Amino acid sequence: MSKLLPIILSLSFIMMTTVCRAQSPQDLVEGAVNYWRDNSSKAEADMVIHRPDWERKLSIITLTEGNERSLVRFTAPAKDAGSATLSIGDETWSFAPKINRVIKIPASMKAQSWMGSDFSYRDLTKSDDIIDQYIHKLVSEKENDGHRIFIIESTPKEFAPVVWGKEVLEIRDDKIILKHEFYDQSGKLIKVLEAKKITEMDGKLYPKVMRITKVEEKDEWTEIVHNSIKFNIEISDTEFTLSSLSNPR
Amino acid sequence: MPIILKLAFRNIWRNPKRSLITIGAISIGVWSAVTLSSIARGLSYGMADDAINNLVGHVQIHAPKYLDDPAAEFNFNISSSIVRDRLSSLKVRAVAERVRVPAVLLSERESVGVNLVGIDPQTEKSLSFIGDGVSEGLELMDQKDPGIIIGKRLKEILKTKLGNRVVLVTQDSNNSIVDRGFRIVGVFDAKLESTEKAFVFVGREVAQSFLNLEDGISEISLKLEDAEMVDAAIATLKMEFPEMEIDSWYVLEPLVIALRKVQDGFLIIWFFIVIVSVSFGVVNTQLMSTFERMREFGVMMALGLKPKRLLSMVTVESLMLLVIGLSMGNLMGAMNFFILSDGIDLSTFAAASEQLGFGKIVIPRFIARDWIQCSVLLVVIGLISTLYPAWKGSRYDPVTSISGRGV
Amino acid sequence: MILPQLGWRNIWRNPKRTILTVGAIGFSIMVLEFFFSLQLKTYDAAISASVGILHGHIQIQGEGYNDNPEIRNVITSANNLKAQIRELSSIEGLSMRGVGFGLVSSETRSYGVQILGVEPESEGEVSNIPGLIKDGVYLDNNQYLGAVIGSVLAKNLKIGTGQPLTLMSQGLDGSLVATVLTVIGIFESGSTEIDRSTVEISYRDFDELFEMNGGAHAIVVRSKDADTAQELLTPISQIILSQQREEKLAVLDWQKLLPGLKQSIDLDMSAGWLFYTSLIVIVSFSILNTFLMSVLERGHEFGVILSLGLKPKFMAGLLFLEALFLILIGILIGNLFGALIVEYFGSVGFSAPGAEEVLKKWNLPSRIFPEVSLKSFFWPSFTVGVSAIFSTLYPMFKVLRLDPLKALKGEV
Repeated sequence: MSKLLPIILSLSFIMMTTVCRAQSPQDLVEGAVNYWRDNSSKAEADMVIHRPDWERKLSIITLTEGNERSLVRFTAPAKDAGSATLSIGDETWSFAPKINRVIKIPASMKAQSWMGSDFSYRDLTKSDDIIDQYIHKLVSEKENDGHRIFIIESTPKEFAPVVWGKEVLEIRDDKIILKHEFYDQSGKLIKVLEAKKITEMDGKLYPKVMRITKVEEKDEWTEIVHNSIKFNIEISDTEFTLSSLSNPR
Repeated sequence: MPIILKLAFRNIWRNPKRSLITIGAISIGVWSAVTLSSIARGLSYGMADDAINNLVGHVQIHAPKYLDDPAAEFNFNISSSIVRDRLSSLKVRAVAERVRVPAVLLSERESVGVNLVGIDPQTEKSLSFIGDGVSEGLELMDQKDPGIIIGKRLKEILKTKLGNRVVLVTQDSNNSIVDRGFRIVGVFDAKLESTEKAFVFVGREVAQSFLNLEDGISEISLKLEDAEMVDAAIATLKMEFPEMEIDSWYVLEPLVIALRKVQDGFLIIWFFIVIVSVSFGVVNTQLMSTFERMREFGVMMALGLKPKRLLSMVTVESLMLLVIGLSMGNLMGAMNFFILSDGIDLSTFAAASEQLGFGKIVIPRFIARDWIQCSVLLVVIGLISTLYPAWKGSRYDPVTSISGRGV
Repeated sequence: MILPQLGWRNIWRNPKRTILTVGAIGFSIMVLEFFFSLQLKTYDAAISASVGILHGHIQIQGEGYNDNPEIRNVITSANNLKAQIRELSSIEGLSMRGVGFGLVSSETRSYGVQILGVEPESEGEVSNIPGLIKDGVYLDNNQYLGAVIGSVLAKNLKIGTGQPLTLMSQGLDGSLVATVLTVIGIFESGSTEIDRSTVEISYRDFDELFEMNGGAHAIVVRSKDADTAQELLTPISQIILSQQREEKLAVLDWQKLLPGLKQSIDLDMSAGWLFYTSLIVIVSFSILNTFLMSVLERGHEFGVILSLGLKPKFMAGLLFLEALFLILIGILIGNLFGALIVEYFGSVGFSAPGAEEVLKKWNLPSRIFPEVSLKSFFWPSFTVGVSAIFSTLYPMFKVLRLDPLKALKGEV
């Protein structure tokens, strides 16, 4: 027995490290996305849209469930307060309180900017595409601030509905996505989504500020600043319906 | 050969210089009229061909609501073989089944609204411009080919290139949003940039599965061997498929027919003008020639030749000049028709011909009717105008004519 | 100077030939003048028809707006500018517009469209749309949130007058524009493109919805015709400069607003010249024919004169004068009849046979009213005259080389 124990221990040790090591790039990405989205979330945030000659700040409340459903409600400024955008799968609806109407966003408008930001309506519904529609490769690792950071190159699969040539993610060992870069099919960098100010929110480390920047334009970006966020909350199914969209409780 | 013809012919050549110049004037008139009209016809008939080849075909079949709102939900299930079968009495060149819906095409930097067309590449070869192939890359192999073919101008607007992936976003038969990546396997060059921007092509079965259509299609387009049988085809099809929307190309592209009608009117007027202008010279010639032969006519009439006969002789002379000039003019016209048969390059006016719907090359078109009209007009007007000198000649008084003291 | 009198008498020695020659020249000039006037008027009509739908002859916009229509590229406090421009003579219409892009929806469908905020009282001065309402009425300032939409859009949205139309867009400050409009009119402009993608609301509503602060995206100007518009460009630019505005404005003529149209016209013009040149060549040949034959015929006469001692160059000079008289008379007659025929059709109107109903269906001008103009009358007279003169060169050359003896015998 005493002879077996070290063997078993060393075997399990080897297995553990192997298991740890054996986290595939795909798993890393999936883990990071799930960490970010969690099962559900409710957040209060500000969205800042910045251009060379102007800037606009909108306040929002966001509800998400899984990777398929999300509801964003605007609370400020007054002119936009009460507007909401609901996404289920690939479909998106918009509600404008002034007219008390829900409008489904047609395919022709999906590539247009959402509320004037650097996100398109399409971007709102594509959060988990990154996992399944790509082939992931771990290209390198680096050390920073006591953390190990995995640099993963994700290449879209042949028929994936993705315009990018490749995307590069910097995922920290605690599953936080530090940077998400979007490259065109010739290898030029087009967009960068960066996590800034990682602080503890609702019991876990989370990027308080996320900024998406257009690399080819000067001084154009959109930033989301989370003021508060709660994870894993109970959200009833009725929240993600068209009637709820037009009748907030 | 009757004496009158022999005589007339010899008379013409008594003054070769004069006759040649007159014949020359007539030929140039005829030649210019024929050439210009063939160029003008080339333009308008070319427009018609372009419209037909630009996916319209001779006849199109759709579901009733489709033309107002070309969505995937307005699909139908008629196969091309059934259509061919129903039209078996007419010679059908090709029948194509297509899926056609509006979509948005996305690249890394741009998004453009387009018409997504799902085709059977083999059938389209005898039907529309896409059958002519691609200028870059490869054609679609068959209706299952997973690639996409886009126009050259669209490629430039999207800032993408052959071999890249683009994303199509549209609504399927249930009006749900669907999207998919397609690799650009070929780039086509069309006569008009607007065509290059408007259409993107994928395999029909690929489109059907992408849009959740099963066996449904959006349109049937067909081409007949004989363009004149279009109305007959429409009548037959309307009887066989009363619930479908069936249209001919001229209903779908009315402006082309309008232009042709305007041209018909204009060309006749132009022929008339040219011929009248030419006639001034011919009448002059004939007047001179009768005046010169005053004495001779006097002698002939003194010898018993009836004035009517004289009239006929001079008239036949005119007719000969006209016919020879006409033939030469037509010959010259035919010659340069062959020389220009590859088409005239309009690229200096590229943007304009784009706007008006012509291609960049105009191929002159010989329309028999125009040619016949021109020739007939020439002979008729030519004869009428030379009637005066001929008549004058027949009224010479033999006595005064012989003395040479004029009319 | 006996030559001119001699020349004049000579041409009347053979009246028939003179008449025929003069006739040929006159006829061709008349024809060319008629067609040319018709052509120029047709272009004018085509330009007016095209710019008349929506674009106008001239537009004043923020610099760069035409290539890249950004909602923030605005003309501020336009009223002063409008008033000053209106003062210019030959301005036939002026109106201001705000332009936005957004989504309109009916019960069942949504479409991306262009939204125009127009001034109902003056929009009719620059656009035909107010007059092309086929169902309902046009906008007026007594109504709030009324909308006028194109017929194709109405069909696609499956919407009719009196029904609600939801509008969603983005304002100047980026805020959400959301409102329910009522369709009060449906128009058919003749352009499928415009009918499919245009919604017009009153400028007052547009200003409020899009937070424009009284700014506009375009000031649209209509003038009598394309040529007048060209003349207006400088005065308008000067007015703008005199205002010393902060923002940079651009003055665009119809050629920049509708670039394909200008080139279509150029293309048609060249095609026209092809036809005209052919006619001129034909006529020149006819004239050459005539002059040559007259030389051939008068061989005996020339022989006598030459042997009497007159130098060949005088002979040639005489001939030239005769030709000149004929040409001048021809030009005179041609212009006279040309003017008559143009005036006639100018009042009655001309339409290509068979084309009338078709063009009407497309809202294109079906009757053209040609006008006598310097351009359309000078060029035909000039070119025919010049080529006729060229036609006399060969006969004159022949005369210069005349051998008196041969000529006396009648051999030329």
